[in-house]
Formats: sequence, C-alpha cells, structure tokens
Amino acid sequence: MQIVIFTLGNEKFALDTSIVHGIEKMMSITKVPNAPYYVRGLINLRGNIITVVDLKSLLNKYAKDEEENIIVVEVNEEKIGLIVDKVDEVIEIENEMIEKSVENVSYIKGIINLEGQIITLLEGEALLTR
Amino acid sequence: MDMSQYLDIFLEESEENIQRLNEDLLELEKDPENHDIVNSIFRAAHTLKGMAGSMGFERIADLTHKMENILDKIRNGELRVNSNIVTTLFKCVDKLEEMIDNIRNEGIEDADVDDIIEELKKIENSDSYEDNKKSQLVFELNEYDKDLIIKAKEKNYNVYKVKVTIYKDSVLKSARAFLVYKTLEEMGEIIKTVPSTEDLEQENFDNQFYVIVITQKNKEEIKGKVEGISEIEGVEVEALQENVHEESNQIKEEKEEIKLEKQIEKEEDKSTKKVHQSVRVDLERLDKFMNLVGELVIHRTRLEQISKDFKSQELHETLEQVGRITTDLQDLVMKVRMLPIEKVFNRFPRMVRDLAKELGKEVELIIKGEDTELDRTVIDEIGEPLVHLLRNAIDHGIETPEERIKQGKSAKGTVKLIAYQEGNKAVIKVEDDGKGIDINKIKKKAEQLGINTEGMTEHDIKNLIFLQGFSTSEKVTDISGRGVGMDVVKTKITSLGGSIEVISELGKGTAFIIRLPLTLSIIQALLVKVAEETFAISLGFIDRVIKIKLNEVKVSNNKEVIIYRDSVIPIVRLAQRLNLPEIDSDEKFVVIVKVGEKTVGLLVDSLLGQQEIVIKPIGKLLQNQKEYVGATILGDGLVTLILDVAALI
Repeated sequence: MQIVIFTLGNEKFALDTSIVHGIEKMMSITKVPNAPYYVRGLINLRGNIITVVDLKSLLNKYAKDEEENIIVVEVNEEKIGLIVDKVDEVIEIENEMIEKSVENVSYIKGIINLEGQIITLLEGEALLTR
Repeated sequence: MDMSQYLDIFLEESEENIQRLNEDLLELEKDPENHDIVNSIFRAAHTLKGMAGSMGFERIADLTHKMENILDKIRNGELRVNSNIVTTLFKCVDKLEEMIDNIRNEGIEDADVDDIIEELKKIENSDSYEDNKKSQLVFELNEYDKDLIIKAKEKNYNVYKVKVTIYKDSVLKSARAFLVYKTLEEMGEIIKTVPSTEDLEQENFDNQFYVIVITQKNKEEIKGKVEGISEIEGVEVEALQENVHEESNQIKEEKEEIKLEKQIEKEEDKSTKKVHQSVRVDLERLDKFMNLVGELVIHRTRLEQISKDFKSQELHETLEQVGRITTDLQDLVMKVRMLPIEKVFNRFPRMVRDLAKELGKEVELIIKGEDTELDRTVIDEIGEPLVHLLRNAIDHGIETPEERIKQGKSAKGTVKLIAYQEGNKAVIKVEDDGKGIDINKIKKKAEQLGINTEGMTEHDIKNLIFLQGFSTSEKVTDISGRGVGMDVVKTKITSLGGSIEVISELGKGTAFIIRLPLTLSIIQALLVKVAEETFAISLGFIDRVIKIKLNEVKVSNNKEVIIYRDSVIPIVRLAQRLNLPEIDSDEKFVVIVKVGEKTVGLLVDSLLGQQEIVIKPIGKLLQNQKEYVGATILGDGLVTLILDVAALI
C-alpha cells in the first residue's frame, strides 16, 4: 500500500493515500466560533468550503511547531483538511511491515518500523468519525 | 422495447391525472349535473388508460376502462350522478394511486382490483347496459377552427381531412406519426390532429389518426407525399367543407376580417399553449446549473474587487456588463427552480374531505394564493408539515357540528390555507375557526417541564408548543388539541430556513404562520465584523441597522435592551454569544433583526457592507453548530460564516 508520512511535533504519522485527496500548503483559515476544540475552521479549496481539523488537538498532542501543510482527505463522502506540521514523503510499503500497536484504539491501524524510524499509521475514517 | 426510460414520465403524468381526477370528483360531488366536469374526468381517465396500456399495465388500463364506461353513461344521460357513484369513483382513484405507488416502489402494479371492478359493474348494470364501443375518433371543431377553415377557403386554400393508417405492428408509431405531421406541415398549416399532437407523441392512439391541414397543394400531391413515408398502410384525403359552410355567413358578419396568415399564426400560438410546451429536467442537473451560476457569482465579485485596484474604465465597463448578465442568469435559474405551491396544495381538498368525514365534522377548506412560487426543494419538503398542521386543525381545532352550534358558531368549520409573498419571503398560513389554544393548559404543562412562564407574554407562552417534550405529551394533545409533533414541524421548517409561529384566541380559532425563504442558495447579505471575524447576515431578517453609543444599552429584568423609537429591543451581544473577545470601543452597531413576531438587536463592532452571497453547506463535523446556516466565499477568496439569525436569538 501507499502511505503519506507526516510530522506532528516530534513524532511521525502516516495515512493510507487511498483516502488522501491532496496535499496543500498552509492557507488562511476562517475560525468557526463555538466549534468543537479540534476544528480549526474553514478553508476555500478551489471554490469548495472544507472543514479543517487540527490533527494535533485531535490526538491530544500539544507541541507547538510551525504548521506547513494541510492534508485533504475524503471520508464518508466529505472532504476534510488535516493540519500537520509537515508532510515528509509518500512511500510504498508492504502490508507485512505493519505491526500491531500496543495502544488498542480504533483510529490507529498499526506501527511501521521504517529503518529505525517509528511511524504510527492512522485510520482516517475512525479518526474523524469517533 | 425498453420502457424503463419512460417509466418516470409515466409515473409523473399519472400522478397529475390522478390529481385531476381527485379535484374533478370533488367538484362533481358538489355539482352533480355539470357535464363539463364529467367530460374532464373522462379525459383524465382516458389519458391514464392510454398511458397504462402503452406501458403494459393491464390492470390500470382495465380499471380506467371500466370507469370510462360509467362516465360515458353519465354523459349520455343514462346514469345520474349520486353519492354512491362518486364514492365508488373515489375508490377507483385510490386504487389507481395505490397501483401507481406500487409501480414506483416495486415496479409492478400489484393490487386487487376485482372488488372495485365488481362495484363498477353493478353501477353500470343498474341501467340498461350497452357495451361501450371503443372510443371513436371524433372531430370536434370549435368556432375558432371553423372560422379558420372558412377564411382559408375564401383565400382559395384547400382544407383537407387526412386519414392516416399506420401498419398495426409498427414499433415506431409515434415516429411515423411525427414524420407524417412534418411532411404535412411542410406543405401547409396543420390546424388540428385527432387524437391530439400530445397523444400522437405519446403513442396514445391505435394505428389511425386524422390531420386537418390547410394547403395550396391538391389531394394527389398530399396523398403521394404521405404515402412515401414507410410503414404507412393507407392515406385518405378528403376535402373538408360541408358542415362548416352553413355558418360561414354568420361568422363573416360577426368577426373582423383578419388575414389568414395571422390567424394561422395565432392558432399556432394557441395550440402551443394548450400543449404546454415544457421539458422535464432532472433536478440534479438543475442543482448543478445552480451551483455553476453560484460559482460565477463568486468569481464575478472577485473580479470586481480586482478591477477596483486596476482602475481601468474599460475593464470596469465590461465587468458591469458581465454583472448584469450574471444577475439575469441567476434570476433565470431561480425561476426555473420555482414551482407554484399549487403542486402541494392541490392534494389537500381530498385529504380534508376524507378526514372530516371520518371524524364526523363539517369542514370547508378555503385555499388562496396557490400560484405563489417557491423553490423546488422547499416545495418537496413543505408538504409533510402542512399535512400535519391541517390534520391538527381538523382533528383538534374544529369542533363537532353540535358543539359548534352550542358555541353559536356555524355548524360547518372553516380551515383556510393561504399562501402569499411578502418581500423575499413566502408566507403560508393555516387558519381554523375552531376552539383555539387554552393558555392555562400550556402554562400548567410548562410548569411540569420546569419552564418558568412568569414574565412571558401570552404570545410567547402559546409558542411553547413548538418545544420538544411539549409535543410528545399526550396530555396537551388531549386538552388543547395541539402539540403532536409540533416540534417536528418546527424542525422541518427551520431546516428550510423558515420560521413558524402560532397565533390563537380561545374559542375563536388558531392560525399557524409559516415564513419561508423564496430561494435557498443565493441571498443578499450584510457583512458585519465581530472582533476580528467577519460574518454574513441574510438581509431577509434585517429590519434596520443603527449606530449606538455603548451607554445606550440599558439593563431591564436582567436582560440588556436598547430603546429605539419608543420600543424596547432586547440585545444579543454577538461577541459574547460566539465566545469572541469583546472589542473595547464606545461606538457599536445594532443590527435589528425580525424573526416572526420577535425583534432582537444584534450587537456588532462594525459593518462591511451589503453583498450578494452564495450559501454553501458546511461539513458534517460542524453540523451541530446551529448558529450558522452555512458559509460563503467572498470576493477576496476568504470563507465567511453565515449566521442563522433564528437560532441566535
């Protein structure tokens, strides 16, 4: 499978590219007052209005780093932007490389050990619909 | 032959015809001697029969055929209309509706028609029975046609009646008929076809049809041309004159001399009107069209913004032109999506009649303003809440005849259903002259639910019935007769961007007033600034905007208010409501909004002007944010939230 690897704080995460619609540079976001804590706001993506989620808040990580990218994913027929610190690379991996995570939560698919680097593979749908 | 592509059309047209049957039968019940109505019923049944037959729905065809038999007897004076006949015909219509529904849902007309056909037969046989001959093709030339023919003759044109027979086993009868029509049209003017052009198009004919044509060509030329079309079995051309001639002198004296050409043109106009030239379009395509126009509006606004920086006169002029065209286009797409509310209203007379009979009440339904137009989406959704309100009005509002007489009212109750346009809103009222809402019962119920009604106006208390929890309570239903699912009604209407309120007087009656936006996706809005954020407010809600000094805000009864033109207007601080930082400034603006009878002032920091915006939905992650109806993209490309005024106040 193909995955996109990105950084949040000092950790590496990944998503299956089959749900990824595109990777965007950080852009201006319109705040939505009274929205859930993990919703950062709305962006104008080529004429479409898309909700942007602060992935770090959603995963309870509070590191303050510069945010460079928005990964646009499509789950349940809706496009949602995920704010990440930085998108690193897109690579092919074998399914055997995915190990079970010790954390038994639905939104973590598994752990990938890539040349000594530990990457948490996230389950997009479970992440955004829990 | 694959019929599936015609199925939708069949279903839709069947519904229209069933609707007509229902309406006409109601009329017939009131006016049993009126043969025009019988004819109209006959036509509707006949059309249904033809359509069902061609689609292979034998039972519908069979049932409508039996209905025709009876109607024919009524027409011929062999039967007299009585309530039994009308009731049976109503039953037939219900059966037809059931079958159409079954076709829609399961693809088959599955329904038991034997009983009803038996009943029809009984009625039919109640008088000397004579088999109804297969409906013959009969010409009925109206005065207009005759006049036209006479004029044509005076100009030495030939008028022919052309009888065309197509091969019985032709699979393209309508196509052949069309070719014939076209061929004849090239040679002259067609003034009439039997059956009608519409029926020809839909293959509602056996294998023969007639065309009356005015031409300068002679018989042989016509015969030859038509015979040249394939699959034509025979053509008979005969001159049409005798029966027309006798009236010619009279008509000549009465009517002004008008040129033949003009007459024909006029006649054509008339016939196109009759046929109701229209195209059925998939709603999805219309939605797409609408979205595209929406995009166009966004980019136009954007261009205008850019052109301001360039200060080029030429660019400005062109843009203005583009602006005008976009506005026209927008109006057009709006209009295309608009439908008269008649489509919803016209099923109600029947429903009210049935319900009143069932409950042993006498109810007259008065419908007004059925030509008020609304967006298609609203039309589709508004039926259900209206059914609810009407049912409530009849079930719980209107008293029994005895009780009404005791109260000094007329035995017959009145329910009014009124629609009209008010600014950019459509208003629908459901009024009854029944017993009204007892405010004390509502207060009691409110107490039980822990709602403090002290200090509330009577109006506000009555409007508590829309609260959830109020509605499910059986007690209120029993006592006041209002409440079943009122919250459902309100939710539906709110979701359409509308509002509902109730006005009621004990013993006099109740009125529900629904206000709906005329269109849904492109609105005029006022852009305001609260703290650092920009928001849009639909102009539809805005009464006026005033500038105030902060010290003009007073506190009354623990609520902030301002006094404006002698009235006390409660204030909602948007910054507070939206958890935004309060900007420290002495001068603020108050946007006075009106939702139903409620007037509230929204406190904002500054105004950015008025603009046309396109409402776009916001995603599922934010669907619990009731404060917004959606968002829009402004000329600078930034996303701006649109406030839902009704939810904020």
